[in-house]
Amino acid sequence: MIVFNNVSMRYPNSAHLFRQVSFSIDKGDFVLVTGHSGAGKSTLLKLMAGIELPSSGHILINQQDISQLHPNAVPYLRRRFGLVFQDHKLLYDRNSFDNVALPLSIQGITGEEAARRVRAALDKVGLLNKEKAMPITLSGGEQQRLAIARAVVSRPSIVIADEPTGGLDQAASLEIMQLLKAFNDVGVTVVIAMHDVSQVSTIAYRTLHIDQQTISAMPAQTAML
Amino acid sequence: MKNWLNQHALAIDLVLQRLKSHWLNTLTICMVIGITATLPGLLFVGLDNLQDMSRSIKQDAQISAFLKSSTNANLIQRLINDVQALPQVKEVRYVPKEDAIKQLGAQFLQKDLLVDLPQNPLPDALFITLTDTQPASVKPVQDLLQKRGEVEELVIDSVWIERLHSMLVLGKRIAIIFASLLGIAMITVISNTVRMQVLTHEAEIEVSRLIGATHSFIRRPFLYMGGAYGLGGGLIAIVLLFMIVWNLRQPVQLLANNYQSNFHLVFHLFNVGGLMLLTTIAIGWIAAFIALTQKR
Repeated sequence: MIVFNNVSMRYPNSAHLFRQVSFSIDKGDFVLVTGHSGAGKSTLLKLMAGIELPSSGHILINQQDISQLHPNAVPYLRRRFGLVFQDHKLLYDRNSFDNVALPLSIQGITGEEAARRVRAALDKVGLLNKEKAMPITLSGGEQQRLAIARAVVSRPSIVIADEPTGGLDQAASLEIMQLLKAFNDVGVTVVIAMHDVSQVSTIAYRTLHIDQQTISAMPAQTAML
Repeated sequence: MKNWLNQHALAIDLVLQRLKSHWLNTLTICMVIGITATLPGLLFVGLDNLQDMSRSIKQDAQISAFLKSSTNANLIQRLINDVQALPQVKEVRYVPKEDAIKQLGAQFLQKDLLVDLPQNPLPDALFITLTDTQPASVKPVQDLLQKRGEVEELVIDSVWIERLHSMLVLGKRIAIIFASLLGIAMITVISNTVRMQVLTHEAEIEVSRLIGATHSFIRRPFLYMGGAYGLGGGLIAIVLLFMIVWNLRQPVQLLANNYQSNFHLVFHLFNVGGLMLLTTIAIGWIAAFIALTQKR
């Protein structure tokens, strides 16, 4: 599903984040990307979603080389992903319903169909009763759940989450991870960047560990708290 | 296709919401555009009316040929026949000097003045109405009359019409320059406003980009917003122009009556108004486009 083939990445005027890394993520995988701060976890996720392009090498998403994509095709690639950000990136001038409806609007889905899908997503994350609430009135955990609802509302095949539990307490972090695992259980590929794996509960996962400009893929394991 | 239409409907809805939520700001910008557009609009309305007037004059344009007193009836008739044979001539009206003095007498109350004259000082005259006042049409008639010895003096009415046309052309050019300068001012105002809007919605733009919005999706509401400012400003300008014309109509008519003219000031809503609306909408759209291009 996601294949990195000899991918190197460096930002202008800075050192390499990775050198010629290769790995693959299969459909239905639950993958944790780990590494110290500044190792390049977020950049790796951005490369997967086509937000950044590699300095060299090839990234294949469903056998399509994203480095070869025409810039106009990139937005359509991104629609295949559900993105969850550490800082939520919610729109604070719109209510919960409108925040979740944004990806559908982008795809031109409006009216009853959009409303049905938004409510289903809000229901999944336990925020159906807060569809009219403004994000600022929600707790940190609720805001992150809202961001997850926005990520899954367009039924992506891959969910990419960058430090989704950052700044949350243990209970809220657990809720978020269980929620992401629930999507993984129905076949959605989930890739999560985390610096603290201890937050992961009883979840079977694969790890991509970034260290010293290399990525080591570890086999599936189950974390127990 | 349905999704495409949905996206446009969504963008329009979003723009209307934004304009409504900042209605005072919207009204201020539309007023600025409206007042700015009114000034060249007024010039165009004036020119439009002068052009209407020149068109009506054009229909009555004529050459007056005053004949020598020695010209006899046969020569006059031959001259009339020759002139009438020209394709540029619509009508030839012969006014003998006896009729001319009677007409002159009828126009003045002090008829005694004319009675006291030892002899009729007026010449026989031909009033030649032309098909049009273009120089190419006037020239052959003018040449024919100048060659003929029966003609004492020629008065070509089209000369001043030509001058009026030249002035209209000049006036139009000035109005276009004036409108262009004010158009640039409008573009600056709208462009700046749209740029501010882009900055205000930067977070939304960033998120939309990340989750798969195309450039068109992101730009569309701002382009519509520029167009909406233009539309609002254009409508205000039309209302202002209509009020100004309505206000000036009576004094202009009074002035025209003093010159025995039935000229009256009109505002052609579909011609001038429509053109103005299209122009202001286009200016708004272009300004938004510039703002978005600069932003990128």
